[in-house]
This record gives sequence, C-alpha cells and structure tokens, in this order.
Amino acid sequence: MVRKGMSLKNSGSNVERKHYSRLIFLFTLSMIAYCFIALKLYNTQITMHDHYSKRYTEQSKKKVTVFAPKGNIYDRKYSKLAENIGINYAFGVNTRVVKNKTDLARRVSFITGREKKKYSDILFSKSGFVWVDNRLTEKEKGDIYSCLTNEEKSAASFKSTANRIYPQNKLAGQIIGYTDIDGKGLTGIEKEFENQLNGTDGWELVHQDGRLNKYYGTEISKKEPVPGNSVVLTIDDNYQRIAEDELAKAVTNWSSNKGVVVVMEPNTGEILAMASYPDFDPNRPGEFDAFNRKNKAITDVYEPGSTFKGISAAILFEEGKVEEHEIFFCSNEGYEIGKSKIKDSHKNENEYMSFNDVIGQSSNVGTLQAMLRVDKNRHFEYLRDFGFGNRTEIELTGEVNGHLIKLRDWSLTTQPTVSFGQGITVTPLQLITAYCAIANGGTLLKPMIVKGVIDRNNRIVSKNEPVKIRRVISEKTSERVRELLRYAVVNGTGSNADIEGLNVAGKTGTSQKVENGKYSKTSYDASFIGMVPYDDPRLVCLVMLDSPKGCIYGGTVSAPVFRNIISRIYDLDRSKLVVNSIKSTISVEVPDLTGMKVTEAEKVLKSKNIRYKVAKGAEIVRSQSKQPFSVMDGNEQLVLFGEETNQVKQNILLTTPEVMNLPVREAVRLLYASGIEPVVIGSGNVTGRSAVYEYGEGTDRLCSLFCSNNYSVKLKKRTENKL
Amino acid sequence: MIVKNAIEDNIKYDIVLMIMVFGLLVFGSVMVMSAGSFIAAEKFNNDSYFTINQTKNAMIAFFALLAGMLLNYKIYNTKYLMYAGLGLTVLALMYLLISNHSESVKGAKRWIFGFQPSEVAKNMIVFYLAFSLNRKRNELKQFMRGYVYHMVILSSIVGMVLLQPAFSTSMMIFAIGYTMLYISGMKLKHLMSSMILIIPIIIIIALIQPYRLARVTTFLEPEKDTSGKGWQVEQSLIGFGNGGLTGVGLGESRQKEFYLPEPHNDFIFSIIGDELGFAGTILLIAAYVIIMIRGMRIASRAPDYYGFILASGITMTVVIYSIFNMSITLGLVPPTGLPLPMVSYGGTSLIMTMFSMGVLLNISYKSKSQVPIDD
Repeated sequence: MVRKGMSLKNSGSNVERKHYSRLIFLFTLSMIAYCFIALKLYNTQITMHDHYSKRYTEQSKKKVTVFAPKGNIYDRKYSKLAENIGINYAFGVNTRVVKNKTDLARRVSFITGREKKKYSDILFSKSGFVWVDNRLTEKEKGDIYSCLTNEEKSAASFKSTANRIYPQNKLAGQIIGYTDIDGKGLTGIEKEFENQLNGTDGWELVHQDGRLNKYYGTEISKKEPVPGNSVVLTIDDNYQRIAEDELAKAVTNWSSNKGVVVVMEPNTGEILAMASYPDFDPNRPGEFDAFNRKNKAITDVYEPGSTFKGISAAILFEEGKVEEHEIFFCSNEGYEIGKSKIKDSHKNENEYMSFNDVIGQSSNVGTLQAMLRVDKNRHFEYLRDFGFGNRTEIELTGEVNGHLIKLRDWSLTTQPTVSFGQGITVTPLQLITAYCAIANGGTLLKPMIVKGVIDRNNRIVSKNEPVKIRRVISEKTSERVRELLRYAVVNGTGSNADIEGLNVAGKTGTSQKVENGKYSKTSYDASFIGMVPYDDPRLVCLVMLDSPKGCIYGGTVSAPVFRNIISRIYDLDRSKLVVNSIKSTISVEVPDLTGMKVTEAEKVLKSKNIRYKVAKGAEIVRSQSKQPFSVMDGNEQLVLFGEETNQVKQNILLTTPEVMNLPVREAVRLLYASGIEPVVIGSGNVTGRSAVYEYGEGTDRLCSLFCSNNYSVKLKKRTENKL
Repeated sequence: MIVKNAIEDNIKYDIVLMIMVFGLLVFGSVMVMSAGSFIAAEKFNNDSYFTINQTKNAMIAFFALLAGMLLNYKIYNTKYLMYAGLGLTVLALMYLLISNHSESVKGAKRWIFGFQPSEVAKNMIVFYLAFSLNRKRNELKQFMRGYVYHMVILSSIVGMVLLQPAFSTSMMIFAIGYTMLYISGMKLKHLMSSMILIIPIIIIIALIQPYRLARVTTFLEPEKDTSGKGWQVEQSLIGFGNGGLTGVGLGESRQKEFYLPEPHNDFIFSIIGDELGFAGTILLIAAYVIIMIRGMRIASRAPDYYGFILASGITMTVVIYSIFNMSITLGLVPPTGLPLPMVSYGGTSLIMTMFSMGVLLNISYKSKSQVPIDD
C-alpha cells in the first residue's frame, strides 16, 4: 500500500520519479537495519535468554561475609581489655588518582570530625593504595562516598571491618597487642590467640547493584557466623594500672629512656602485671612508634647487674660453697683476674664483710670471690636451669633469648663478671621468672599470661595450669636466699624498697649499659627486684629503668617504684599479701560447672570447700552465679542455675543488679555476676539500661548499657546480631 | 457544520503517525520514570527527579508538536528565518566551542541555557538543507553549485559539532544531511566520489582521541574490558536477554541499578527489553517502522519539492537515530551516547523531535491526495 503510494506518479509536481526510488532505497536499507536489530533481539532475548538471565541473577546477588564476632580479652577478673562493638567501615583510595589530596583530607575530616592533618599525612605518605580511615560508621561511609569526585570514586574502596576496641585504652596494650583493619592480630595476645579469638565467618547472599553497593535486609539466604572464643588473662587490671602508673611517673621523673615493671605470682607463675614504658594505645597503633608498641619486658635485654647477685647467692648456697657469716676481703683496690682488675662501684668503708653484707652492700669483689669457688660447669648449668639464655615460652609475641655465653667461650673473666650480672643479658621476664623460683621454694615455673579460653557462653574451652619446669634449688636454699635478700633490704642498698609491716626482700641493681661495645660511663640500668612477704612470697616484682638522669642507683631510682607499687597493691587487695591468716578461706577459684550434672557439680564444690546453693529443680547446671576463673571469697556462696524454668528465669530477672550511675566496668562486672551479658554503648558512667533480652536457647541473657560518652554505635544492629 | 468541518480537517492529518507520536511520547515518559528512578534517587535523593523533568519536557514538546502541526510548513522556507536560525545555531555552537576549549574542565560542556545546541543543530540542518536544496533545485546536478555548496554547509556544521566535541552527534548530523543530499537527487557520482575522501577523515578523527579508539577496540574485543565500555554493552545485552519474551514487568529491571550507565537515556532500550521483553522491543521497532513508512508516505505525497525534502529529512532523522541507538545497545556498533528519539530522557532532543513531527504532520495535512479535488 505504501509502496503504491510512493510509486504514484505525481504529475504536475516537480518531484522527479528518481527521488521516490531513492526514498525506496533508503526505506529498504532502513528496513534491513531494523530487521537486523530485530534478529539480534530475537537471538539475545529468546535464544540466549537462559544464559543472560543466569548472569543477571548471578551478578545481582553477592555473597557477603558476615564477620564472626571476635572474642574478647579479659583480665583475670573479667574486666574487658578488648572487645568488638558492631561493625565499622574502612575507606581506602589510590592516591595516584587523587588530584587534590589536601582537599580530600579536608572533606573526609569534615565528615568524620577527626583531624585533617592525620588524613593528609596518610594521603601523602605513599603513592598507591592507602586506607584512609577504618573507623567509619555506615553513615560516614555513605557521606564520604558522595563527597568524592567521580575520579576518586573509581579509585576508592570501602570495606566493613570489625570494630575492635580496647576499652581500657593504653592499659596492658603491649600485652594485648593490636589488629590490622581486617581484624588480623599483629602482636601480643591478639596474634598468639588469633585462632581462638576469631570465630568462623558466616555469609549472607544479598542484593547488589552495579556499583557493587550491597543492599542489606534483602538476604536471599544466609549462614550464621560462629563467634570467637574469649581469652582470660592472668593480668589483674588494677595491678596493671598501678604498675603502669608508677612506671610512667618514674620514667618521666628520672627522664629515663624506658622502663619495665613486671609483677608475678611466684607460686603459679601467673603474671599479674607487665608494664613497659613508653606505652601505646592499641586503639590507635599507627600513632605510636614501634618502640612504644614493643612489650619491652620480653623483647629487650639488658645486663642485670647486681640484681643477679641473688641468683649467684642461690647457686652458692645450693652448692654449699658459702655461709652467710663468712668474711670476705673486699679490697677497694679491686680484684685482679689476669690482666684486668675488677673493682666495686663504690668504696667500701669496711673492706672485711660478711657474705650477708657482700650481697647487702652489693660488692662485686666479694661476690666474684665466692663464685670462683664454684666449678664453671656447675655455674653454667645453674644459669641454664634458672632459664637464662632460653625463652620462657610465654604466650606472647616477640620474646628474645637473652645472651648467656656458651660454656666453651667462657674466658677467665666470664665467671667472675657473670656472678655480679655483667657479661650476660637477660629479659626482665627471665630474671623475674628465676626470682620466682627463689620465692616459691626452688621450682622454676613457666610464666603464665593466659589463664584460659572460654567460649561465648562462658564455658571453659581450655585452661592453663601452672607448668613446673624443674626444681632448681632446694627449699632450704630458697629460704636462705630470701633471708639474705631481706637482709639486703633491711641493712643494705635496698632500704628504699621496704614497706612497714610487709617484710620486703629484694636486691638492687645498677649496671653500666653497653654502648658501642664498651661499658658506658654515663648510662646505667637502674633496677630493683623484690618479693613480698619474704617468708612466704605472694608477689615478685621487678622494676627496671633505662638510663635515669640525675641518679643512677637502683636503690634510689627503682626501689621506691617497687615500694609504691607494692603498697598500692596492698592497699587495694590486702588478702593478696596477708598470708598468715586462714589460708583456706581466701581466694578460691571458681570451677566451671556448666554442663555438669548437679550431683557431679556438688562433688566438685565439696572437694573445694565452696559454699553453694542449687536453684530449685535443677538437674544440669546451665549457669553459675560467678564466672569460671574468677576468685571468690570463702564466705561467698555460689548459686547454680539449672534447666531454666519460668520461675528460675524470674528469679534471675529479679536479681538484675542496679547499675545506674556506676562506672561502666563496675556495672559490667555486676551484670556478669548475675549471668547477664551487657552490651556496652559508650564509656564512662552508666546512664541507662535496656530490658534484659533472652537469646540462644534461652540460657543467654543480654542487656544494653547506655553510657555517658556514647560512641556512635548502632545498638540495634548489634542486638539484632545477637538475637 | 463547523464540527463536521473540524473533523474533516483533523482527518486530513496523518492519523496513524499522530497516534504513533503521541504513543511514543507517553511510552517514553513512562519508561524514563521506570528506568531513571533508581539513579535519580541515588544522585539527587529524589526518585522522581527525571520523571518530573521529563514530564515538563513532554508538555513543552507537546506544544512544540502543536505549533509544528498548526503552522504552515512553508514559512520555514523563508530566507531570513533560515539564515537567522542557522546563524543562531552557529553562534551557540561557537560559544560552546570557545568555552570548552578555554576552560580545562574535563569532558565537554554541551548545554547553553538548558539547551543542547548540538541537538538543535541536528534539526536545524534538516530545515536549512531543505530550504537550500529547494532554492537551488535546478543546480543540484552541478558539482560545485549543487553538491560542493551543500557539502560545505553540512560539513561546517558537522565540524563545529565535532569540535564540541560531540563525535556521535556530529556523525548523525552528517548522516542525516548526506541522506538528504541523496534524496534531493544529486548525482550518485558526486556523492560517491567524496565518500572516498570523507571516510578516511572520519577514521582519523576517531583515532585522534584515544578514548574513542578505546571504544572501537573494546567493541572489537569486548571480553578484554570488564569495567568500561565493553562492560556497558555486556550489561545491556544481559538486560535484553533477561527480559525474554515478555519481560520482567514494568519497573522491575535491576539493570538500572548502576549496571547500565544512563539507563534512562542512552540505554533505555535495554531497560525496555528487560522489563517488556521481546514483545516490547519488537513493538517499539514496529512503531519506528510505522513512523518511517508514514513519514515517507507523507514525503512522497508532499505538495512540493520543498515539502518532499523536508518530510524525508525529518523522517530520516528519527529513523537514523533509532537505528543507531538500538544498534549501540545491542552491541552492533561501538557505543556512543545517542538518545532513542521520543523515548529517551532529554529535553532538547524531545522538544526538537516533537516539533519536527508536528511539521511532518503539517505536511501531511497539505498532502496532495488529501486536498479535495474541487478545492
């Protein structure tokens, strides 16, 4: 019809027939094109429908990893040292693409409210991909994305990260270590116990758009993650705080390069506090030098100096080579060995001294004379047995050996100098571990930093028991050395360490530092190591300050630090140090009874002399009023809750403690004690508490604590995760 | 009687074309609403941003259509109007040319007072060539005064659009103008001879800008490029393929969720394919084919040579644009940004196309066969 119309001969028109044929030619050409398009459409839409529709579905779905909540790190009394709160986002960008780095830093800083300089430092730090910020909330992530230029968007990357926080900031930071933005542990407990702390990640199949934005809440299918286990440290956060506080004061006061304090429980080898200064905050590891991040109690060695005389005395007593009252001639001229002459560091008023005074006045000449009576081989063996030259195998990263000269390399001067702590290097932890053997009656214990691992329902996964490595000296020797060290405090150089009523025993040390292969005339390590009380030591504490200015002597610099730490611990926790009173009623460790039959649990409790009460109708212990590992007073009562009946639930709900206005740590502890897991939002004092939710099999209970300083954390998200 | 006359008057317009044009105008607005809502929500925080704009444009376009319909098409065949129109277009193009090349902003600026001069140029050249070809219709067979003269006019406009730079639009303008020269009855010998010269020039231009070369190479080896232009075409095909026979339903396509660039504009055909399926795409092609047939019918029945050339030019504009846009979305030619006439988002293009359609309808009204014999 159309063609007919077009081919009409139009007489009287000045449109020639040729034009129509050209129009028809164009028509044909266009029809061919349209047909070709239609064919291609048929091919794509009908023939290949299945192929494309599969790709369509695949690309719009995305398997997203759901991070398993990482386990927490607790101190021995369940104060949180590390925990995860919700999910953060990290923003990274390839700096090569960013044209105006300063401006990008300004924009990001405007959104996050964090310092602009920090961002520009990162952006200018290297050419290539950098993570700019890893603590963004979901909203900040969105805002940052929209403030980017198109070019930047193409080079930008976002990912979700676990929001690992260290609620006590610097406290025990070097022990805990820190993680990278993926939550991978880099040092400390975070690294050593990574496998335990990490759970098994789950996944979610979610809808995704072409820019790879995910749309949550549209899960097609999902697999729940398995949460990680928590690590309970032997550290007591109060002791740790005291140690860090006193150490920081001393290091600042004496303008020292660094300082180390270790507090150990000699009977178990548990480390109660381990501080080294300068320290760092694991919440912001990047802002500190590597030196700050090191746990210098295990990574750095020093010559122990006179503190080593305690070890020498133990060897001498054990070998029966010396008596306390034996007189030594400690010439102020020094003692000649071969070509060299060894002198005391200060002039002795009385050159004839008893062995007690040799140690008490810290005479090098006297000590070496005594030590020369011991066979070189035996001397070396003892040092080996005390653990020198070998790692203690503590469950922390970065531990070093220290240097104990091999026996065949011992020169004429080695034995005498080692006797007073020169020519040997030790880590502070090695030395205090050896002293623990002296304190506990002669057994070398492996130092313990982790009490055990518990799962999410606070059941014990694994528990560390004290590991006896070997007996080094006899009970008797141990007692004699302790008395000798007591003498050194009462009548010798360690007088500054004494605390009235606490019977401190200990030894000072002032050792010249080796600088450029020579003993320095100006830098010294001032140290003190002591135990308290001397007759039945409950605590051993080492204080070491590197290069104090103004005064170099351990007795003046380090002994007062020791004294301050021990007095403050004593003020805080008298039971720890008052030993003469009825031993059996104090500090019973709570066993893990969950999962046991009530009858079995009763047996355990009876054997441990723990007072207990079983909730009505319980057959299997589902929860207990105090956490495993925690220490309870002999007068306290442990309540066992069984299969949860409504009545029991109600009882528990009624026992929910009042936590308003309490410091958050206090509140957390109270809630834990009544079997409720608090989700802390913010820090500071508690300003509100949510109702108690139940989840899991009805055995786990959860409530939220709102605190005065809120992090912008989405409570809902977190709660949902748990529920 | 008045009513009867009015009805008869209306009937004189090509009613099939009119239905097609209105149909596409409504269809286009609906599809823009469907295809653009996601991106609008992401970009402007307002999912009806494109819809509102396009509805406004459609209303203006409707009046443009009415104006084109009601004004006698012969008034465009006036010297001063055409000189002024072409002059203004050239001025606008020059302005953009200078501002684009003086500022170091990446990417070309293509708007002036909310108008896209290159889109205007595309329609202006049709009107101007129709005017000029009609005026010189007796000299068209001459090489210099016919062929070269018009080629110079065409090439200068094309050149200016090309330098915007708006490569694809310039090529379209060239194709439309060239088609018109062909229809006008110029000697094939002349037309063919210069092609030998022009094709290498186009290729060289395409190769000068590295990104254009990249498009061509990705077109040739699409699997090598996973995120750029090859990806676009791939995504477009996935959209078509997923639609199947009847599509996933209006508003249901996921390809507009950033899988396709400009899903409301350059790649709207793929969204149509996904949401309405093969049935929808074939019907849309049918609509364009009908518009082409009706347009050519109007051209062939035009009362004079000017009307013939103008109607052919207008028809071929729609035909060429629709063919190229569809081919791009199907990966049949290298991807560049071209709108689907009367459907895609974009004010200037829509308004100018609708006006042209009005003019086409006006020509149909003046059509010889429709003119009563006794008139």
